[in-house]
Amino acid sequence: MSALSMTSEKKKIAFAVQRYGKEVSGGAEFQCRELAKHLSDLYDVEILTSCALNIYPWDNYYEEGVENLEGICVRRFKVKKKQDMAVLSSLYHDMIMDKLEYPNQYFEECGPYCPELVDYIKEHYKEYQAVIFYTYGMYTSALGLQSGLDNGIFIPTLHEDVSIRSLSYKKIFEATKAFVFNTYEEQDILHRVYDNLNKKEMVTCMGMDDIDYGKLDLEVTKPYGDYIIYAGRMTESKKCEQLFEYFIRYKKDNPSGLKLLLLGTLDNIKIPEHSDIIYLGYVSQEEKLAFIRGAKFLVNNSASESLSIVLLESMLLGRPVLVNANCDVMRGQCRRSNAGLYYDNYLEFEAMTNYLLSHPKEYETMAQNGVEFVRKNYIWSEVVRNFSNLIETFRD
Amino acid sequence: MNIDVKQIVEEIKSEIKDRIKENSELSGTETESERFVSAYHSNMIRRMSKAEDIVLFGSGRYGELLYKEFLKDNISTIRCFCDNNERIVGKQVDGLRVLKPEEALMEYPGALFVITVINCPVEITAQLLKMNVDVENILFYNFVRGGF
Repeated sequence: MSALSMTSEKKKIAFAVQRYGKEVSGGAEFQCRELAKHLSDLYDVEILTSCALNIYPWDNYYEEGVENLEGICVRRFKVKKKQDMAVLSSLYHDMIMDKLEYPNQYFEECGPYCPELVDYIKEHYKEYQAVIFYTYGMYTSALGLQSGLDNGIFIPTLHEDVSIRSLSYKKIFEATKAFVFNTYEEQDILHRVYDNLNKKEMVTCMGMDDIDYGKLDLEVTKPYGDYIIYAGRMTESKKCEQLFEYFIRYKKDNPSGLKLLLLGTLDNIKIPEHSDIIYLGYVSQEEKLAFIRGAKFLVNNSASESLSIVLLESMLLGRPVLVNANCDVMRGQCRRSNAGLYYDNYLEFEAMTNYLLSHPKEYETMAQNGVEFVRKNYIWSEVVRNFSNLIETFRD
Repeated sequence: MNIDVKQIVEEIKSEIKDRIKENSELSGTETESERFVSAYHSNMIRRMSKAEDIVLFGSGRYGELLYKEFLKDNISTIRCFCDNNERIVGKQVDGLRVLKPEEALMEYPGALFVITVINCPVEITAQLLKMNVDVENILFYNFVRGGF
């Protein structure tokens, strides 16, 4: 069945996103695909996007027109202009100074410049229950949200950035009818700059599938005895080397059979040779979940995680977490869930580790809290239900 | 059983307070746990630690407080304050000179300008850009986000 011939009784919604496709890498784009896929059970989902695969400068990799991708109708519009980084940089200066010739001048250069996509939204937004825009700093979201529609939802994936104080962004935020944030910490970024927008808001738009940990094969974990685990890319920016130092010092000060298991890829860092630090490299998702379930707890020393999926997986698997207190998001998740502890130096790392290993009742409560927290907030069925409630506020 | 991890963390920290102090005295530096260091602050420090010269824009209350915090983080390349307030220019704050922004730029042309004032960061950013400071060399430290 072609996308054009698809008919359905479901209400229509649209996502407007800078790029869309199986080949597209990028966190926001991946999240958009996942959310679109899960909302397609309830809605007739359409994607409004560019023909680009690559950014800076935007290309026209995909064919213009309509295609059906994984059961979802994707409408692609040509990128009409390549980006000029020198011009963009100069316009960024002007945007911060509120000296652009007109507020959207920066976004037109930023791209992907698809005026026909914006025209399409202007002409067709009434056909959709809601139009959901992804990512701040994109032509598609900036111009789309200001195209006069009354049902625009914005998932901005904001970062701390002085430009969001500019008139250019102010106009976008004012035109937005509802915001959806990945985390409460992201929501805070907007609230600290604009405390009186008075828009509909929701936090959490990324979900995960529930895990039946009874079905996991824990045999693979048995050779390692008692262990704590780190899972993810290992890089300097995630402060993995400091984690190794802490663990080695911990083992020196607290002799036991406890090990540190490391799952994931190495990115320019070296794992110290130590009999209790075991690097298993990349493993399948199923094995990863089994190893986390077999652990005492999951540890993450990064100070700058956004939404950490592996943290949520660990909670869902009934394994508490121990995280760097300097990471606002992970510390916030521990406090909201009551399913993990946090530290900001070695002595606290040692004390928190010993607490988790020696307080079985509190440990078990944290484990249960984690499962409940993720099931309540991050399981796809819940995310879809909450998102759908927001979408349904737009039209009768 | 109900638990509050915030309370648990505070109790554990309180139990090891003396060890942390002892550790701090041995190493001669204040440990991170004696003050709250937010991820925001850590990120800013990472960015600042790469700069050869740093100028703090704003020598008022926030500028002074942040200067002290940055020193605790071993940021040793802060060269001066700069300020638009003519009455402060030419004086010293915490032993650091206060220059006019133009003077600071002339003396440290490649410096990272860290804006410490909270009321008008956009205007100050605009002022620095007008002086031809590269946008990459302008950092707004939002005191509220710092967590102090």
